[in-house]
Amino acid sequence: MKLVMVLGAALMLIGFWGLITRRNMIKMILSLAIAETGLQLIMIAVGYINGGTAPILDSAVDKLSAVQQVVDPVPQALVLTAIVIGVAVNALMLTFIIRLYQKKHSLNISDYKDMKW
Amino acid sequence: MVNPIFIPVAALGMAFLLPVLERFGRKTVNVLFFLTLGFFTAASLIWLNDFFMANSPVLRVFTAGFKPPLSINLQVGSQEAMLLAAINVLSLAGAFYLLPHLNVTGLKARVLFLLFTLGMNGLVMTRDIFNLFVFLEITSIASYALIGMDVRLKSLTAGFKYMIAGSLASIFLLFGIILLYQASGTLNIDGMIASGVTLNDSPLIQGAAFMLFLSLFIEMKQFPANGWALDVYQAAHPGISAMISAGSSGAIFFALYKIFPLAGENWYLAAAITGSTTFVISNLIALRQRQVTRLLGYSSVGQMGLLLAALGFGFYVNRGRDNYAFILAALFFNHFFAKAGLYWIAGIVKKERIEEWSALRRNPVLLFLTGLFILALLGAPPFAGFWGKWALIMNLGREDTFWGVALLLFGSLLEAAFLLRWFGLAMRGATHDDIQPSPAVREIFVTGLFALISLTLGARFGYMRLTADLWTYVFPLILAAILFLFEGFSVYLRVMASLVVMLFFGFYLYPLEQGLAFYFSLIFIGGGLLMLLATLYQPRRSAGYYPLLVLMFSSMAVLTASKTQLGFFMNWELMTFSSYLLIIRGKKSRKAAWLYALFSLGGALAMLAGFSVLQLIRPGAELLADLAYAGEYGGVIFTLISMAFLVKVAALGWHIWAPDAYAEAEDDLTAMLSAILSKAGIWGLLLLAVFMGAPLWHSLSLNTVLGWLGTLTAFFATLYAIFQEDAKRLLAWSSIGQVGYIVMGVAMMSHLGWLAALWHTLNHFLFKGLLFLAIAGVIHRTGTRNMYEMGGLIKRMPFTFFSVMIGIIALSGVPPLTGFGGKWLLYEALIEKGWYLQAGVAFFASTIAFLYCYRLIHAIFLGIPKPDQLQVREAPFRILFPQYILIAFIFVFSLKPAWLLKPLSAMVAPYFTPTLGWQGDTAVSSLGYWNGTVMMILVVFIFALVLLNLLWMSRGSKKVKPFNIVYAAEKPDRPQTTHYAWHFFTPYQRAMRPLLKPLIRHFWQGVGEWTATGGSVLRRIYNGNGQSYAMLILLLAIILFALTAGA
Amino acid sequence: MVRKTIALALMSGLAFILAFILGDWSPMERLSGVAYDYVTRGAADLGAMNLVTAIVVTYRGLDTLGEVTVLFLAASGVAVLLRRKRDEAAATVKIKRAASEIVTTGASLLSPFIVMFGAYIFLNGHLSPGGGFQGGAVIASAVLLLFLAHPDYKLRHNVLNIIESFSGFTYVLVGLLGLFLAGGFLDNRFLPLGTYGTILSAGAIPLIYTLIGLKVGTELAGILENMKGRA
Repeated sequence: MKLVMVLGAALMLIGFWGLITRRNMIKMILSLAIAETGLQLIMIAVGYINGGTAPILDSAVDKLSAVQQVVDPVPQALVLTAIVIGVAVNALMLTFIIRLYQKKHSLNISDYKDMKW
Repeated sequence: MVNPIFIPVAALGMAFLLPVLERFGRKTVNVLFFLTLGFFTAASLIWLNDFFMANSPVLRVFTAGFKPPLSINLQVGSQEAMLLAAINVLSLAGAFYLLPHLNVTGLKARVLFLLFTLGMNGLVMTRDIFNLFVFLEITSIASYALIGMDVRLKSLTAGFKYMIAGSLASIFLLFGIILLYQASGTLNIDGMIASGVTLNDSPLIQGAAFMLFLSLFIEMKQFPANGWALDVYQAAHPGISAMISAGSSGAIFFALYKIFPLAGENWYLAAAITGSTTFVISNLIALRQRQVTRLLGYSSVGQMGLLLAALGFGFYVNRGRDNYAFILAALFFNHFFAKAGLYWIAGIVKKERIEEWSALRRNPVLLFLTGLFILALLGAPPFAGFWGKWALIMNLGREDTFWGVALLLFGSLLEAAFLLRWFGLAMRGATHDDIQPSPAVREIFVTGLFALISLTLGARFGYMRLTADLWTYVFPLILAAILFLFEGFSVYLRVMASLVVMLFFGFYLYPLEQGLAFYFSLIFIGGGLLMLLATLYQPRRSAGYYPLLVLMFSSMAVLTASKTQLGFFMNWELMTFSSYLLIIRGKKSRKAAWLYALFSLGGALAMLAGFSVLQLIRPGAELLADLAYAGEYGGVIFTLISMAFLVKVAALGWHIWAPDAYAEAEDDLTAMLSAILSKAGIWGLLLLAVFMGAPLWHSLSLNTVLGWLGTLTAFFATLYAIFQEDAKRLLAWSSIGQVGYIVMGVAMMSHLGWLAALWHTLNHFLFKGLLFLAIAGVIHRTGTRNMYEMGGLIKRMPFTFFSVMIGIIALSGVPPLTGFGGKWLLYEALIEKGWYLQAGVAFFASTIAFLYCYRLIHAIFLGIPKPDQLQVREAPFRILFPQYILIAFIFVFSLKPAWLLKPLSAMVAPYFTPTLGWQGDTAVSSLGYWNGTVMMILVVFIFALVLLNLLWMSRGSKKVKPFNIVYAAEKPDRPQTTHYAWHFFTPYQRAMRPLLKPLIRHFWQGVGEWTATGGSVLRRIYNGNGQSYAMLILLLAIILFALTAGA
Repeated sequence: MVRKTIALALMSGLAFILAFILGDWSPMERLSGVAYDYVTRGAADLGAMNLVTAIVVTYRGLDTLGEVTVLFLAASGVAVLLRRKRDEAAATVKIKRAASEIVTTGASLLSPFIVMFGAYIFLNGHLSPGGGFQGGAVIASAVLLLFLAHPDYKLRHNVLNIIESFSGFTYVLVGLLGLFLAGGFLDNRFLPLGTYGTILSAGAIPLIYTLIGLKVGTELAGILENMKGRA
């Protein structure tokens, strides 16, 4: 699981790197999405318990000894929410880009510097 | 009691249903929309009532039928109720304000607005940290959409930058939450705090706290990660900016407040540093900003910094003290209502640049509201911010955190600089076009409502702070409020009403005072009454003139009756702001008034710092008398507090504001400023001396410094007075110089010295009031202030001539009038004290004072009349009458100095052993004696002889008319240069050039320029690129990590 | 170049911070805290086999309602931002290229099954991995496929709107029923818990997940349509 953690952190860093180096706004949003994915991996890793199985108490998992068998269900519930929220924000951001593109016909973030100082 | 769960239920039920209800028409939708918001407001007001009136227990709601930590719970207690009430009132009023904007955008806009409100409510109520994240996202996403809603390029760009920042913040927040969950096994905030998990200093847990607070610091728009916020404030519809700046920032602040107990020591300090840095830097950068909405953006960001700093300091220095919640609430609600109000006004006025705000001038209601909100932001009494700032600074002093005091006070001064410049332009800027703001009733209603709430809150917070003598301290405000009812009536009625309330106030104060305090309040109130009479000479007066005058005079009188530091400081500020608002009424006084306000506020803030140093040595000290215990800090405290007074007396170095303000204020107001207002500074210096004696700064006696300051002020001001062309400016410099003598007297700390100071205080009031009123009459008739444009007015205005003559005799200190007594006492005192050098300089200065006295009377009244002034009439009776009352006093005290000197001697006796004795009516000191009556008789006799002689000699002379003078065959292109009064003393000026260099003015100009340059260098980081803003956010992360990881 | 250097410096700073924080991280050994409670009593409390669902729909139901709100907000935001202003109405209509035969055929063949699969996912959310959001997303993907196949395809707005509003409003009402008939807002136990492990069990959870599935599906479809632009 340490590996998933490292992977998550690496994805976050890659996402941040993309965010501050790509000029294309769509790529910036993709970078943010990558960073979010990294975070989601980290969240899942946090909830993992060595040797645990999915927190579904069906025939495979005995209800009484479930505590010893399953992984933590809470981070999974949280990740679900995080993913949905991420989707929502990304959709809205893309909409902003559609509108911005209609105004200036550019996807380059440095073309939108009308307001400063 | 309303169950808090019904807030999300109502919001969501309505939001989900509205798209279907659209078919029933806009009206139905609007009614339902406002009903929902109205329900929120009603519910939160009911809670407010329950918690504050009925002391109900805290409401806790568990969802899903399980107790936390299994389920999410909501909580409404007294603090939540306050926040919710503010937020929901804002939402209701804000929606009402935005109605046309929402109508244009369509149905979905209302859905967004409703959910935005829900998000803020949820942020306040929830006690679950992940649920907090969800509500934060709801708030943010709704605000993104609301910002971009009008689909303009600017708002889209700003919204996009905001979304990048918001996404980064939510990544950090989630990261922090999940790590904290792993460490504590719960998501419930109370559970986390109770588990004490964050006290552990393992990297994982410290990292969790780091991510959590980093995220909220970004959301709180802290420097340098706040470029996006400025763009949002600038670009969004002002109605939306109001919602974000007040509402969502406020809700986020409360969320931070809620989880701040999770923070460790290192975060207290980090919050304090980040917050105060943000406060200072955003106010610094705002100095260069001309765009109104962006200016307000800087101010909003700055206020968020102030709040964060107060939170950090609250924990850092103030643990266990109960008043930090008071401080936060006061600062928070002050900003909340004032900033929303200002954004709304910006939306009404629709002028982008501050220079264009002069359009506001013809709309007194809007102007009044703008001024009111700006004063609230500046923390003027009685607004909540005043009480909050006072308590905060005192706490910081008590805990020896003076870097915080310095940063916060400096930031406040910068904030005053740009806000008052903006207000000045609104009030007195040149008009550019005739497009007037045309506010809808709806807009004025909500803005006015918020003004009312601001005032009410201020009163409420003040009531909690002012424990003793409440009525005395707030009396001036009540008087001003009463007088506001008379606005709109004739000037006569307004003056009568002012006189009545002032007299009433005088009778109220009378039993409370004796000795020095009584003497000064007599000058403040009695002088005020006389000057109020003089204002009658102008048939029309702008709105608010009399309430402000009475506020100024009565708050000065309260200064003499104040027992507590807070009461004194409050009325000092009231006096400063009322006089600022009066000075700015002059036609060209915009810059002068700005300078006056800045210097005065700077002084007042120094005074605040002085009181906070006192807290260090005497924690909890509230009384002015506690100054006596300053001990080793005496020098620092004395220096800091005296700044305020030195500004008011315009001592050398702090005098820059005075000549301009005196010259540009309305003519009768100048008389009041010079004759009465400057005495407030003298009273302050006396008060300091009474309580603190003559403290040392290391081995240097501060009284010697003060004495020299007075001497040099007298000398240089007199020198400058000689070379003025403008009669009012001449008198202004003269006034500065004369007050310098009084400062010398105070600084001597001896019986004779104080007698001289007190004598001269009254004397200066009499003759400078007389001179300024007389000149006001002349200006009223001739329409000019330049002396070379006048001449020979003695025939046209004989009564005014007599006033001026008496005035300059009293001023120059020659026998037989009162001026002589003052000078006599002063030199006696100086020699007795052994200050020979000072005596020499003072003597030289009073000799050259003859030069300007002569010029004043000669240029205006003697010589040959100007052709266009041949038909000038005598000044109106209404302005002559007060002059002759003053003359009567001058004569009485000249003839019978004992009537004044004996009581004065008795007043000073408690502090110094008398060294002045009496033989009948003759004053006797170790160096000589003085009998006013005898002297008067002698001088009148000699004068009569000289006059007779003159008349005898001139019996055959020929009368000259101006037409007899012809230019010798050529017409000069600048006729005024041929007037004898033009550059009258040029030869002296050449001789004294090295002394006349305006070094001090250059110094202050340099300070101003360097500050502005600092701002314009710093603001380069906001280069407009959304990507750079993302980098700055990451930079903040690294800075915060460096700040907090060390522990 | 300067920018790249600054970016590099920032990234190394961040990498250091992440390394510092996560350096000695190790996975949990056993369940503790609130997770322990959920696992030990969740099934008995709520009758849901899938504990994640129990948490999402009931224990932390308010979050989920918030989540639905966020999606709804985003959909509304997209609609507001992409609304056609009057001055844009006259803009030239772009003619879109028709999709290939394979895509159109595949789409009409697959989309009913996709919708059915989505419904299966949200109906079984309390028994197996899945739930309303997942199911809704699957349904929306059917709509996406239709859009790809038929660029001119128009959704029936009224129907979509009514389904969306109805499901959202009913969700809130179901929550209220929990408040009035059972322990608290969004309590699923106002309906009988039924036989553990069957489709009609776990009280109101299947109902709530169905509503969520419908709402999410219609909302995502709405977002897709708005983004597609109007032909």
